[in-house]
Amino acid sequence: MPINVNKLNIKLSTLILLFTLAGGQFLWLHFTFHIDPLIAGVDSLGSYFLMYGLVLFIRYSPVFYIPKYIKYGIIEIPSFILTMLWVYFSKHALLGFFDHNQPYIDSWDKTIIGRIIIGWLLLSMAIICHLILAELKKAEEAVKLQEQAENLRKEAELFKLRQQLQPHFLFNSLNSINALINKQPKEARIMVQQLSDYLRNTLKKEDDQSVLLKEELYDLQLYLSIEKVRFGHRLKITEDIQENNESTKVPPFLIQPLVENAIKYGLYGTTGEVAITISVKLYQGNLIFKISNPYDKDGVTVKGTGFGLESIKRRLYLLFARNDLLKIEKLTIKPDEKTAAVHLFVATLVIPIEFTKN
Amino acid sequence: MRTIIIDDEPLARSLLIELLEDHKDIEVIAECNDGFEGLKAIQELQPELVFLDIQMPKITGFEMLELLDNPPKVIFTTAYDEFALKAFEVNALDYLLKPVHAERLSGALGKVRNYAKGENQLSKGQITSQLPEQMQRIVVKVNGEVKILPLQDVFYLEAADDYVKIHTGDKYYLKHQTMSHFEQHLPEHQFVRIHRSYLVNIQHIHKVDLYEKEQYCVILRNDVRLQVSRTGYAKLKAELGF
Repeated sequence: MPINVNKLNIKLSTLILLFTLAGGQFLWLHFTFHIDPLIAGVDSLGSYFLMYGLVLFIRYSPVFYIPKYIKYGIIEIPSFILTMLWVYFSKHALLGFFDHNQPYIDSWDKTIIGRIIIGWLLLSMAIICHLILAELKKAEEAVKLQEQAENLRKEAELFKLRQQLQPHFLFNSLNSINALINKQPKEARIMVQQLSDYLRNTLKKEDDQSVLLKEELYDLQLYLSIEKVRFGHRLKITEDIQENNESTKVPPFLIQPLVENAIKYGLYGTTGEVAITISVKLYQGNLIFKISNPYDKDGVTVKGTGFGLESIKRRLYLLFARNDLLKIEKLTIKPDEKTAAVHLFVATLVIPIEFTKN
Repeated sequence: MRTIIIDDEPLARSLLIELLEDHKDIEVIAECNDGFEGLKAIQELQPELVFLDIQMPKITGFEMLELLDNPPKVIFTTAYDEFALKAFEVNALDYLLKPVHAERLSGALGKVRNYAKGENQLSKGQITSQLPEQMQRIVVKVNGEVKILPLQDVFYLEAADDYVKIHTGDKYYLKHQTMSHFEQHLPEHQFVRIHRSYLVNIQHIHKVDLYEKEQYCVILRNDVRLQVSRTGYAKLKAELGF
């Protein structure tokens, strides 16, 4: 709930209060001590004008932005010090003006206690009000910050959800299913099954929780079989998986985006057959995941490509504080004179297993 | 109506063909796997209608369309290209979202039939000029071959009647397009319109020289000199910061 403090209202009320007190002081000086009305007027207006200055000082001076000795100490001490200053300065300034008027000079000795008490009360109240206003402002800012943080969190969550769902992949897969339904209903059913399993597993994954490698590879299989239905005529996938430890765990969202990237580059960067090779093995406590895809040497990348690899690098850095875990190579293979050269894009991902046990 | 379907997914094409069976006036005369095949088929077969996917190997559906002098009527089919949806509404006859619905397809074909009755022709400028995305490459056609030019290879563009000459270091390519189209869609901090007839890639500027009183020219890395207009000089100054 936002907290609204009407600042103009506070300023006006302060002015009215000070004017009233000035009027009181005028009457007091004039009727009790028979001071000349002009002098009494200047005295009361002058001293409360000075008081208003002190109130503003309390409100806006950085010293009073709730220093510890005011917050936790006794408010009356600083207000007493300010009162003494107030009385001292108004006395000297006013007596400087009217140093020939004996009744006025005498009246100062008689009124000084009264002035100190009034000033002390006023300034104590001013400091208390200031503290309350400052607290309210702080609370208001905290509410705003909380709202902002909440918005950011929601946005991040939405982004994550969209990443997980991959609308392009999802709608194209649904279109393929639509195409299969009439002529190959069995295949359509299999694809629905695979797509729903894949989506369910992806949505289940959490950024910060490692998953079993075998589950990750199973999801990869689901993903690849769906892509094979869509692009079977072009996709040739070769797999070499040498890691069979049932309990090996890896962080999610590393292998999957790498495969998506390879398929996207291969399919949209070249025409004709796309041969993708995937290998997984364990080497000196590291899981080595390697994937290669053909790319077009002369092609110019379209917007969006490359972003995937950057986010994988970032993620690896966040997880392991290392920058050397993803290696990208571009190779040219020319087996003999007769065959055309093949340009390969090879990504090697190193996942330190010992750090991802839990 | 003679129709070609261009889509890189065979199942997407077969779905369209299946749905088109209900529309007897539509005759699918060819299916193409990508923009290159599509370009060839359109030129050889001169279809009246094309179903065109956007994300395809090497060149996009948009880029393919840009290379045609007399584009046929187009219905775009796409799964999720948020960037393009607005452009469709203004420029293409219609667009279909995948998975394709039979009713939406009928609606789109209705528009095509109405359009065929009318006199309006879909002009090329309409198709391309509303694209909100920025160009990251230029696709040109050389002797029937499609060539993709990365922007860093382009030195400058020169107006030539209805065409634009795209100069790379040693040769140039012609494209049927307007200068203002390029000015709008090329990255504005890389390509500066220094003259009514020239749009220059500032990465290839060797120096800016005074060659007459208050008249400047730029010298490119390949020693080509280009005249700079007064407003062009101001733009160049702002971009290069001298």
